[in-house]
Amino acid sequence: MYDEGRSGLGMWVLAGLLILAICGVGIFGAMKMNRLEHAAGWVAEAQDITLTATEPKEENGSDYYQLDLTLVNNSSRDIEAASYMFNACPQRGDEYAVQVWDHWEEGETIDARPCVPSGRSAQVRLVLEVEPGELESDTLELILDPYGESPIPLGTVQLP
Amino acid sequence: MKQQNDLGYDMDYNGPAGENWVPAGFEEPQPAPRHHRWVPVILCAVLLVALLVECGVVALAVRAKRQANAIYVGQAETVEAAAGEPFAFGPLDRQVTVQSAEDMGWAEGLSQENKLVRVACRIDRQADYSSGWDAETYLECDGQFYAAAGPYLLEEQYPELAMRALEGYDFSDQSMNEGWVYFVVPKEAQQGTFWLHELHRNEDYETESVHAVGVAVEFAQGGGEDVR
Repeated sequence: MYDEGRSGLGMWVLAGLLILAICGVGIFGAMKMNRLEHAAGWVAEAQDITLTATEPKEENGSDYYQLDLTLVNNSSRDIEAASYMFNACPQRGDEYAVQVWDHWEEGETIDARPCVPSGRSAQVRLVLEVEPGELESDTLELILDPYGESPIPLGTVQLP
Repeated sequence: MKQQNDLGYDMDYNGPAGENWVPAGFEEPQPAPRHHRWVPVILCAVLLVALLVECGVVALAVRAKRQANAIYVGQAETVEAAAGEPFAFGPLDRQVTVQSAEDMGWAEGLSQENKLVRVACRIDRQADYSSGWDAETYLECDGQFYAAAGPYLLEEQYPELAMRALEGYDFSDQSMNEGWVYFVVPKEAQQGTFWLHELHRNEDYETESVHAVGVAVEFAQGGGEDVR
């Protein structure tokens, strides 16, 4: 009698959790769709990706590489060639071992605004900051708009 | 002989009529009818199926929305024009003249690696109005494109420059305009191509196609005194 009662109660609790899960998925879906309503959808392709070692930008033990690529932008919006629009992560190892270095000087209020306009192809030049000890792979995967709603892979590149 | 407790009550007393008597409110729970025990199980199964269906619907809707957002814009049709000569721009062939370009050098508020340049433009008055399109300006130097530093970017540091700074809207409205389009570029840049983009929008204000006019410019020294 006691076991049957406990089992029945467990099923009611499970039913309650399932109702919560249904509500959660519904809310998550509605929020995601709302964010996508104003998000950019990218149609872009990277060509001629090269990586060359460059002089250290800061004395912090990291290696620095200049990333050059030709970006073909077939999206309806411009793609800013800024650190927050690109990401490079190793295929294995710490995903934060590689960062797109962000150049900024004290007192700088107006920065250059490199971009790839909608419907154009242009050179994109970025600097990667690599922590060699955290890498388990020399192959880096390039991602466009990694923190946005619709990130897209641009291809891979080997560390020299 | 009947057993009695300390208070003298009969230990075998089973109620007035001899049945198993229990005080009110302390009835033993009766087992649920067998068919009622399946109710929570069936409910859980239904909810589980509903959850799985909802996950699938949400995933498909997100995927469809992402695909709908990704509007394909073909590579722009480009035309070249010469500095100092008027050319037709926009759906109504508005007359625009790129007059000159100036190197303003380094200025307060810029990185040491950059400098300010500007391109002088004259935009004739447009009698008719055409909707469904916009204009944007870019400067191409050494294969890289730079978006213009419009009045809103300039006004805090250089309010005097912002007053005559042109932006994309000035090329697509109807008023006559004459002024400068400003760009921040690497200090090594000595020449470039000034691009005027004509963006055709759909009803959701998304760009569908692009036409571009490019004018090769060289940055003449001068104008630096305006920012020093």
